Amino acid sequence: MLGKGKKFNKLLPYLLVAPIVIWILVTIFVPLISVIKESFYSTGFIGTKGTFVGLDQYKAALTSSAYWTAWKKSLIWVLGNGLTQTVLAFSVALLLNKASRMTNFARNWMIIPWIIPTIVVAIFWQWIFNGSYGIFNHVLQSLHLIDKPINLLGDSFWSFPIVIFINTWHWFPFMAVIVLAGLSTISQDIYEAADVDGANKWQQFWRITFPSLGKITFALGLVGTLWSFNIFDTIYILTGGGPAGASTTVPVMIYQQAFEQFKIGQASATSIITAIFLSIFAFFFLKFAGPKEE
Amino acid sequence: MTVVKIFRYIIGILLTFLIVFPFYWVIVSSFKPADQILKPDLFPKAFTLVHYQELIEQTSYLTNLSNSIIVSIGTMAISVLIVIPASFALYRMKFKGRKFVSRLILATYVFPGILLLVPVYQLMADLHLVNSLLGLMVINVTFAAPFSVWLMQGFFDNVPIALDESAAIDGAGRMRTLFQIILPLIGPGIATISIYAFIMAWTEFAFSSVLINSDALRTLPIGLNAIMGQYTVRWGWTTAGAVLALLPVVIFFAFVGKYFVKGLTAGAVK
Repeated sequence: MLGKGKKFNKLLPYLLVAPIVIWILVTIFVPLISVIKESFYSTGFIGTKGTFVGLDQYKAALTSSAYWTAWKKSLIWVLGNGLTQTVLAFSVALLLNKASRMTNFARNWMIIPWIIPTIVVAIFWQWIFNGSYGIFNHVLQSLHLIDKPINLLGDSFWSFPIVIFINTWHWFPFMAVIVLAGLSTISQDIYEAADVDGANKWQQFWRITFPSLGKITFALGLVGTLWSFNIFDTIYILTGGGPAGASTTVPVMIYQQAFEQFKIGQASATSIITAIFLSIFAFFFLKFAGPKEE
Repeated sequence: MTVVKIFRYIIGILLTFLIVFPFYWVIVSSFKPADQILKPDLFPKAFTLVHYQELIEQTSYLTNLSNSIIVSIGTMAISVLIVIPASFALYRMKFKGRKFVSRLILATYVFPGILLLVPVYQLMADLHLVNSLLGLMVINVTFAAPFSVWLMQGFFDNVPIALDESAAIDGAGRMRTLFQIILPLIGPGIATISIYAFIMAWTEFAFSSVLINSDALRTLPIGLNAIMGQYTVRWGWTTAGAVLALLPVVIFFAFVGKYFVKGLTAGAVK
């Protein structure tokens, strides 16, 4: 009896983690293997069979200027989003980092842009920035900044920054909640002591607040970068990658190759190369920026 | 000191405006009659429900809505059912391969979902899950569960391990300890990951647009995208559709939002 119970206890953790492990293996690693396989075949339409082409599609991706342009766009995307979201998230978090009726209400509700579907976010801003009747154009016109309405989302220079702005609007509240969580762990006594020592708010932020958030900023830096790199829906819904490729980041390019140009094999090779670059990034990030363990 | 205060107020007002204005503007526009919607009046001069009525009668909004509810609730249920046992093992038990499992889960949430769009479609085709709401639940769970496991760590750590030990001395098995001692104490954590899974499923776009190709099975974001594509000029429908797509999740959030934000806070600092 006792022996049986012991055996069960040994097996128990494996039984408990089995569902999630199997789930992940089936929905991520099985597909991953099939991407690797497809990347060596010239498959066109989904479900058709291609011929073996070896590393040709890898060569094609690495030597295509379109791929590197997409990487450039992706870097601008990640940096642009990272910068604007960090600034906004920290501003909100620092404003709300004290208890009062109003801040409690704001804390719960400020996350609202994050909970609504991307398509709704897209409608919000397409309506505001609309090139013919948008209220934004109306405001600019009444301030005499422009003479006639401009279609910002269709503009080859403005569309990409505008999409970054819209995505920032969608995501910074989530980041703010995480930063707030970090702030709540810093003891108020430290600030009081700093006040006594005559440190101003700015010095307190850089000397106390920022360093104490090390672990959180690290997690946001890694996960946030990868999450934002992978964002596809916002760009695709708003501009479809255009105009003329102005907002074609790497994920958008992969989608277009697979579902618009029907080059599954090429899209797979592009995916694999991209995944390798991202893993290298994650590896170095973990190695050099990771919080030092004592 | 007062300069800092005034500065805080100004920033606060600007940020509030930034968050609130788009909601206000789309909601107000959706109630304006067709001949006024294109005018930039901040306060509507007339009020109509005609866009909502047309949207519900002439598009598949209601079907899309019920599909979204089914997928979101399904995703939520499955993800809680697999995340809680896994977290219990990971954060409460010592076993060989524990590190491997947590690395595997970590690898998932840094893995680019978009790169899997093509092979997941093929996988679902093999499993006969293309054009099925179940297929959407399966893939939503994949992307909701890893972050949820990470969030649960904070909640498990807050339950003193001494409670497990005294339960063991009293002769309770591990599973009884989980159900009778730990589960009641990690309620807020369960609420948090449920809401997270719900929101992930409610907002998912890329996989839904590829895996569903019949009108009757579209979720809200995809249905709305189709309405937008067909009737770009019909801003009445588009704005009303946006309001109806955000309304259910906002109502849901009104009831559970504070648990979610609190839970995210508690889970994230660990």
